[in-house]
Amino acid sequence: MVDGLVHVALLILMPLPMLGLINRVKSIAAGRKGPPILQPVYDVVKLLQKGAVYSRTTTWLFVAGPIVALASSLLAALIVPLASTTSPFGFPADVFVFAYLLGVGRFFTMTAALDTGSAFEGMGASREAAYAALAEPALFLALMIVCIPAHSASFSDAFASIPAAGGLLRHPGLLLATLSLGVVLLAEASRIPVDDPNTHLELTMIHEVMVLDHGGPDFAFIQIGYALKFFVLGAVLVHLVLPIPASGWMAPVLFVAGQAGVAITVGIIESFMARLRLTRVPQFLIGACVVAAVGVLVLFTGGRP
Amino acid sequence: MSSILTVALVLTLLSVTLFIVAASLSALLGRHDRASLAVGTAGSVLGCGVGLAGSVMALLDGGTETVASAWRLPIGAIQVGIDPLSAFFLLCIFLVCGLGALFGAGYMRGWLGRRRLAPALAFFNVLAASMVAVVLARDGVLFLLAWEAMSLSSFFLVTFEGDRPDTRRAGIVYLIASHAGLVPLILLFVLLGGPSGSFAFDGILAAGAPAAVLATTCFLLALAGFGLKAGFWPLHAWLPEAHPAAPSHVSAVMSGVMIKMGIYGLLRTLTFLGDPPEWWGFVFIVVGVVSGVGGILHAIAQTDLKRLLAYSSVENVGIVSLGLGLGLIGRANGNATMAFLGFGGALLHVLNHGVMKGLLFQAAGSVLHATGTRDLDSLGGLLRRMPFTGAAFLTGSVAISGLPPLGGFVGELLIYVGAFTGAVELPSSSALWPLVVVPALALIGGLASACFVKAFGVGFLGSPRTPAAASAHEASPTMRVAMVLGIVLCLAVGVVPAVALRLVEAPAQFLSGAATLPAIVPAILSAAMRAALALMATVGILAVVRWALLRRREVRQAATWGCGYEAPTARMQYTAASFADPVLEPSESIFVQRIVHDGLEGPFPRSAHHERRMGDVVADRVIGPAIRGMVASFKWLDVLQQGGVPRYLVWVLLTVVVLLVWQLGAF
Amino acid sequence: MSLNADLLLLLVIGIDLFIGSTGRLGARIRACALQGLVLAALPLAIQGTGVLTGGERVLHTVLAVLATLLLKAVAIPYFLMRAMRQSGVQREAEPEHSLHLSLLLCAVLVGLSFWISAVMLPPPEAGSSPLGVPAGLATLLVGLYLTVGGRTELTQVIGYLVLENGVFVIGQRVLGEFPLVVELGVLLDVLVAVMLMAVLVAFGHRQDPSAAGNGAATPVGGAR
Repeated sequence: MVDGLVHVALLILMPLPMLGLINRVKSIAAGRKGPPILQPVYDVVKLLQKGAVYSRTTTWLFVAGPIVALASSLLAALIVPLASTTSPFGFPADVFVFAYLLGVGRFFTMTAALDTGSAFEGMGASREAAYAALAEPALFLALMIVCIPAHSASFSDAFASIPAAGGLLRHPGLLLATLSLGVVLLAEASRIPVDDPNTHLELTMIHEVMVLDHGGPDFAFIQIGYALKFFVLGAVLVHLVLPIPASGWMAPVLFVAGQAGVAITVGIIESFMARLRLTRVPQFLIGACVVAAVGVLVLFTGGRP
Repeated sequence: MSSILTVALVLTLLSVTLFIVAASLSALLGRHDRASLAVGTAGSVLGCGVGLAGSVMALLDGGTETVASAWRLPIGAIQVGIDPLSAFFLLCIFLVCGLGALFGAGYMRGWLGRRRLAPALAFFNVLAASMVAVVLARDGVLFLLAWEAMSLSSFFLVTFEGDRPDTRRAGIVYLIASHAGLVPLILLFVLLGGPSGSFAFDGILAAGAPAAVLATTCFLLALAGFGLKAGFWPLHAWLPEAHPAAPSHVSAVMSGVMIKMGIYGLLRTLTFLGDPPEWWGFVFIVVGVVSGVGGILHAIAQTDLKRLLAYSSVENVGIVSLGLGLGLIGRANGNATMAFLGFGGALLHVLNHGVMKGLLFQAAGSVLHATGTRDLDSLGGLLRRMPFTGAAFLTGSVAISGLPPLGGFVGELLIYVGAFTGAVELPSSSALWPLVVVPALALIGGLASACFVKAFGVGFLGSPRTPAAASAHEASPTMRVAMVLGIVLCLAVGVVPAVALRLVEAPAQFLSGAATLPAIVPAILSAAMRAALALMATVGILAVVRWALLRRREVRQAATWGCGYEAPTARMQYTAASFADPVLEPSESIFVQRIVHDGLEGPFPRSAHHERRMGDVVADRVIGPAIRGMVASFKWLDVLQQGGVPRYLVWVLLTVVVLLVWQLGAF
Repeated sequence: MSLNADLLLLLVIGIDLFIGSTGRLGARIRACALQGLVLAALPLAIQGTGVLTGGERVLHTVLAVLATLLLKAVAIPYFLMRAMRQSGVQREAEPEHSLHLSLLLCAVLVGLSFWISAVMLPPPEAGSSPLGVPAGLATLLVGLYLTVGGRTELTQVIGYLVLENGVFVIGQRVLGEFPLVVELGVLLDVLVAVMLMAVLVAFGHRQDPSAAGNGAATPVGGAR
């Protein structure tokens, strides 16, 4: 019960400030003071209070897009254990359901983008479709590396079975899974080097350009959904890197620290790295798939655990 | 022998009779199109209804029964029978054909007064009857006869618009492909019937499993013959030609169930071959990965809506093949859970794909009906004008991308869990094979999403690109009823997967040899159900929240953002080809591209033209050159055939002399 | 068997894949140097700190490590870099030309080497890393691919070097110790070969600029 409450509390409190933290890290690296860490929260609250403007071309799907995107991220975030090794909504084979829930959200975001009939948003949707399709195998392979030793395709069992001691070097396969999941996180959450969330040129955007025409509460839904998606993929990474205990006060502390670490790392990457040329992105993602595949091979070479 | 099974068998045979009567009547009424349409449709729908009842009864009973007729064919008896495997495929046939006939009743009206409808109706009924006969047949000869009737009747349906050159070409390709596929099948049954001296399935089974070499030969022959019908890569090249050419409700039946007869044939053959060696499963997995990825990549490259759907059938048959591979590996290793999950997932996907591909082809048909074009780049904005059709296509798209909360997801989930079970429980030497399925299915799923976002987004969203699309009208009521039923079925499998499990349980146990239902299956399905329901509930709640937020606020309409450009035209929208480009970029080298580019030269270019066509790699690189080579290698026969009668007389004389000499020499 | 050796071997595989996936020769050479560094560290990771307390063998090992370090991580990359600068060829392929296929092929080679070592070779003896033979084989195969499939002379030399690194890894696994004599011999061979090739590349370029890289590579000015 307490675990469930902690889960929900983290879910409500953490995702948006994490984005603020990334921006803060980037500002500091650029020698600026930067906006407050809670700025994304203020933005969302403001958006929720606004009216909306819809393009004359759009249909009901344009409205459905943000709703489905937020709903699917929300459910995905309920499936993954946060500050514990069990989750309130876990079930057998939830790993596969998790990935497909993210897929539903993406499907409807892309169709909502195409609903405007804008070439920019079509461009964004087609890039998102291409990169998501390439990131998918990497995500599944990385999750398999974690799940096979646990003999269960459920996040709760998988995280519980990761040995606590030894950090990232607990198993070489785990290291590769972490690497490849990191790439998936950057691609799925549209961060540098795959996409630049701060760009101001429509032609170079991916995620931002898909949601150009949304405004008001719809855009707030999109922002929350996006933050949740980043948060939940970050949570999976944190569980791979840090030994989060099954319960106790240490668990939330470690988890929050880990998520902050993820945000800071992403911020640092964004400060010191340029985004890849669009034709290079597929190779980056294929590389992630290959790394995860090597991880699976290593897992099986060392005598399957 | 249970009486339920007897009733079920009688019902299915009754449905065959109904189909044949309807076919004859609609053919006899040839001059009266409306009457012919009414009789043909009524016969199909009634027959499917009766048959559906029979097949569900047989599935729930789960038993096996065979009946031999007193008649005899020249080289075999007429034996029919029903078992869980047959009953399951019967269910698919009746569902998809029934919906197809219903849709066809509205769809065919478009041709009233322009074309004789009787042949299409008669052959539709013959096609349904012959598919049922294929599944019911318990004798090799009857099986092949029904198989051939199926191929021929569908050939006549493909060439319904035979006065169009591209349709004629598609028909010829289809005819050649079906008959090429028949050769290995005849060989297969000769080999199978050899040891027992009988083509009856009972006799083949009674003779016991064939020796390893013979079994492998039979397996490979079945893979070639049935794989060609199923559309396995690289035997698929006929499929994107033939399926789009047929009227849309026929395309639905062909893609939805007829290609699954190939899967049925493979499964039936496997029951004759005893315990499968493990590598057969590996073969299926390789075939599945290649078909899945190859099919969906080519589907993304298409701009013709029905061709895109046809290629997507290749992809889905690939997914079925992945499931079959897992099932076979599970059986070879004595792992009943994995075998059940693999076969069960494959069968459920057969059913799902029948329903959702039927729905998609019907929606594509009503688009074609309303706008007269299949070219995605001439469509756009149809969701506003055709809300039912749009909803049907959207439902089909989400379902076929394997996303919750619709049916496609449940089948794929079973396959995923089967693969995972294999990876964990098999000895580690063969555990990597099932594990290959996981990333492959993930990639296929991601690409399918891209493909169907493109098809739906470009065709139905945005603004209309041509006057035809702007003046589109919604489909007729019968067509809408068929599509709504399809939507309901897609949703039902996703939300109440326990019912779907009940349907695949008996055949999956029959194939996998699992004595009981593995405990993990109901757990997974209830989890899938919970996820689907939770997703729909959350969406509902959020929709209410949004409504409440916007209730008292200003909601305005404006033009789409175009960087401040206020006079956008429909032609500025992203096209199907441009959407596909980034997805295809990493795999461009596997396509045969034809790029036509001219214009944009000099300081004042006049008009520019750029065209890029993605050909089919198998058709263009393998089959085309092979046929050209064959034609070239037969050039020397020109010496024989020159049109002069005297020369022919010389050949006749020479032949007689040679024969005489040979005969004399022999004796 | 320590985990560190496993990680180092993984790094070796990772470098193989990186070399296969980048078109810039400078990056390839640097990756080669890094691989040399990893190889030098490998005996330390395998034998642990025991190396430094093993009496007579200490000198042997330390010398070998130093030699490897000097040659593989410093000298040879230095000469290659110089050759690259002199020849003016900086890229294996046009930047527009995607290297997915090359990367996927390298991945297949890595998979193949895991399969070969699992199916065809005897299992590793207790206490040694199970990754040794696959990593070595993978490096060898990727090196072979680069040597055979390389379009510029420099890539062929790099491929040869990578191939030799693979031999080094396998040799260490099979002999279980640092095969000094064999290793030094091979190293000298490589050094000579590399220097010769470098000279050839430089000369070939000076005499006929269009011949450099068989036309596949872009001169500096054109690429930037």
